[in-house]
Amino acid sequence: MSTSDYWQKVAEATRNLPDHKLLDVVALIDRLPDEGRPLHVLEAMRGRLTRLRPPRRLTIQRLLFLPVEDLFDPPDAYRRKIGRLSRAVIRVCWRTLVERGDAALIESTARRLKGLETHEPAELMPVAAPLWRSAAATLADAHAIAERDRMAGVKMFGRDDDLLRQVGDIAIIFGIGEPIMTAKFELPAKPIQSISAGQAEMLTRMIAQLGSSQLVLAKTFVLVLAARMARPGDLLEVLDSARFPCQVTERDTMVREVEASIIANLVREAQALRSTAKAPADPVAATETARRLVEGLTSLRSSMKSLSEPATMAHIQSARREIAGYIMGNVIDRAERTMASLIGADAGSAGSSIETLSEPQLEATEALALSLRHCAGMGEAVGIQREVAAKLRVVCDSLARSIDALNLTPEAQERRLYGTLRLIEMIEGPEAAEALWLKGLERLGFGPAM
Amino acid sequence: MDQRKETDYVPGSFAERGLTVPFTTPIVAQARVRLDGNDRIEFILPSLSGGKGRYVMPWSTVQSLATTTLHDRALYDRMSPGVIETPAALRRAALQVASKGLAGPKAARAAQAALAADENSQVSANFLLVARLLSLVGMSTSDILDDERRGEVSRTRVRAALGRVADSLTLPKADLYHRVEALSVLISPLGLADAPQPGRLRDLARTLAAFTAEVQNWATSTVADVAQLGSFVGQVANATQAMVQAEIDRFDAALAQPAAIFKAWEGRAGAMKASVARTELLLDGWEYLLGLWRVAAERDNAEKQSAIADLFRLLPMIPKSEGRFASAKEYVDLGNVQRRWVRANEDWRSGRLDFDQVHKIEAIKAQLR
Repeated sequence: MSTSDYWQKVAEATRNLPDHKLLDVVALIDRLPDEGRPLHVLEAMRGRLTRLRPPRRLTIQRLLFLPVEDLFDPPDAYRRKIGRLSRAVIRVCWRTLVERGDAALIESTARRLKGLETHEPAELMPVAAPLWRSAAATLADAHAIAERDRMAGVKMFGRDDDLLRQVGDIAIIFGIGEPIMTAKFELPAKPIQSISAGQAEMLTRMIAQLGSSQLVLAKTFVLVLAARMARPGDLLEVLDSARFPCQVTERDTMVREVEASIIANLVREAQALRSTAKAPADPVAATETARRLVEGLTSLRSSMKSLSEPATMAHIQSARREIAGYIMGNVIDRAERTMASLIGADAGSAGSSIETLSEPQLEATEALALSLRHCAGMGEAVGIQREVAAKLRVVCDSLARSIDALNLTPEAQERRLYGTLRLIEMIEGPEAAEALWLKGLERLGFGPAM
Repeated sequence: MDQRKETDYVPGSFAERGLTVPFTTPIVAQARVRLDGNDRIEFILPSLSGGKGRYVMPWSTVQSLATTTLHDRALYDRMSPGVIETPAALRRAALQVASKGLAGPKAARAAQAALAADENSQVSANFLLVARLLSLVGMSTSDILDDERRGEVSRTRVRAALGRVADSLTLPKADLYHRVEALSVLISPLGLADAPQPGRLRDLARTLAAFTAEVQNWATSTVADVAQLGSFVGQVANATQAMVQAEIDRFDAALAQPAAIFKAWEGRAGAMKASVARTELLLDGWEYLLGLWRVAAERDNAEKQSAIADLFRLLPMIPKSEGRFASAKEYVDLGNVQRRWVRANEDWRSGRLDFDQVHKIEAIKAQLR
């Protein structure tokens, strides 16, 4: 078997591996020298790696693309004209840098990178910043040549104008690599749920400073960081508070472009759920996906200029419908079946009763219950609150009935009582759980104070 | 609603400070509990915005302010003036509630282990105390173990030897046995200095010392103004740790001469009890905060900044009765910094029960001893 056949088989085999085994494979691959690393195997795992986010070895390429990474989409999910980048452009940019850039700097940076003991900002930034600056200059130069000289442009980047646009965007991002990475280091990990007033002040200062040089720099900075936010609307508020030395119309145009890009990307992701639904995700992961999109959409303020446009509103409505369908199919229905098997174990159907579950199984069941709670929270935002509430009512009623099992030992009864109460608390709330708790204590004779 | 804001930032005494309650509802997590003038239970909550002042309220108001978890309702159900009298009694009540699984399966396992460890620490303290007494009449622990190995009945020899100790102290044997038992229970939270497994409070004091160094180091290497909060947290931790260490040194010195304690039982046992109680009060509230930092320390800088803001909000201030460490002005100035690092859009501040935050608290609870 040739080496490439071997790696092809590895890539195929990883599809069915559980998460922890997949991470072991990634760690092994990351230990291989750069020239021997089977990148296509990693590419085959990309979707799951994005979700699992294991710590990865920092190679020279990964270091270079750190400021850009949040805008990348897999080639098959990439959509034009919304300010995103296809992962396929990495190869093009890297080739351009190797052919036209400062080879000595690339080599010395790779050497210094291997010598780093940590990847703390204070150690990393002095190594990376010269590389980003040099890469920005090289790509900007190649981009300018391609725009001036069509033939030369085709030779370097092919005939696709969108690829040229992406190279231009990446050149700009490399040029502001330092402020982008400074902000990323100071902000919470992706997805950023919320930012403090102090962090908002820092971002306002940085945006204003970049915008005072060129508005496009502020726009690019915001687009990169917005891709890290669970609620990009919060960042748009920060952008709104920044002042720039330009005409109001210029500023408004820039803000509108950023808004349009963020909305279009959320809509794209929501529409992509339909294809994901064919290969259903784990309900807990599916809930997280849906929550991220719903949070993103609800963070868009009515004050946003783009939201007054009927076409944009229609897109958002369609995105909401997609998310609603995804929630019902991938979370509610499946979680309902899992809970039913848990409850139905008494009646002899397949599954385990709650008091017999191991700690990991109990945690997984609680995670599922929490997903249902999140779905109830999202119901209103996507217009399915009635359907979700009805389903949850059925699940909770069945759970409540399961507490009354009479054929258990007192210890098992107690374990079932508390295990079930936790699920009901998560799904329906503590009040419902408390009422059942008091009733259960009385009936089982545990006394009011347990 | 009795929602008065206290004008001062530092409590006058431990009684005024109250005891920390390990609630899992985010808005009341690490609230403090005490008895009011009419011996009714009242809760002290740090300011919700992270700013100055404290809220003092009964449970009914807590319930109207926020939806609390079933764990917290069950824990409140166990609270009585007796339970909230000492950190140890309150901790035991909280462990019993968590052991049922109301704070999740991991916290249940941790609580069951902690309850078992409490029992073991009493047995261990008893063994080491007896060993110290036996050494007074020339019998060592290795003698006892040798007897065990030879299959001889060591208990008879031990009783005889303890009888000789009682005679030398001019105490009735039964009194000595009773006092050894009572002292073992009394000192078990701190344990003996030479115990193979350090006592819970001794271990906590060591962790606090390590945390102090770590947070001070972080504060000096951080540029953002949140570093001021880290520095202040480090100062309070350092002062608390110094007081705790001094108390432990006194405790160990007294325990080095157990015969003197058993002879002058009334006064010395009271002093040992007071020493353990003061250590417990000084460390009250720190265990959760150390867990909070341990989680943040493994994450990025933004998480550390946010954790420091939380630590500052929940910081167990040393009562004035124990010494003075910060002026009210300093505290107000720092409160202004702290408000800037409170993150917006967190559901728990609205009073809604945010289960993602509850799980974070439960995860810390699952790590506690």
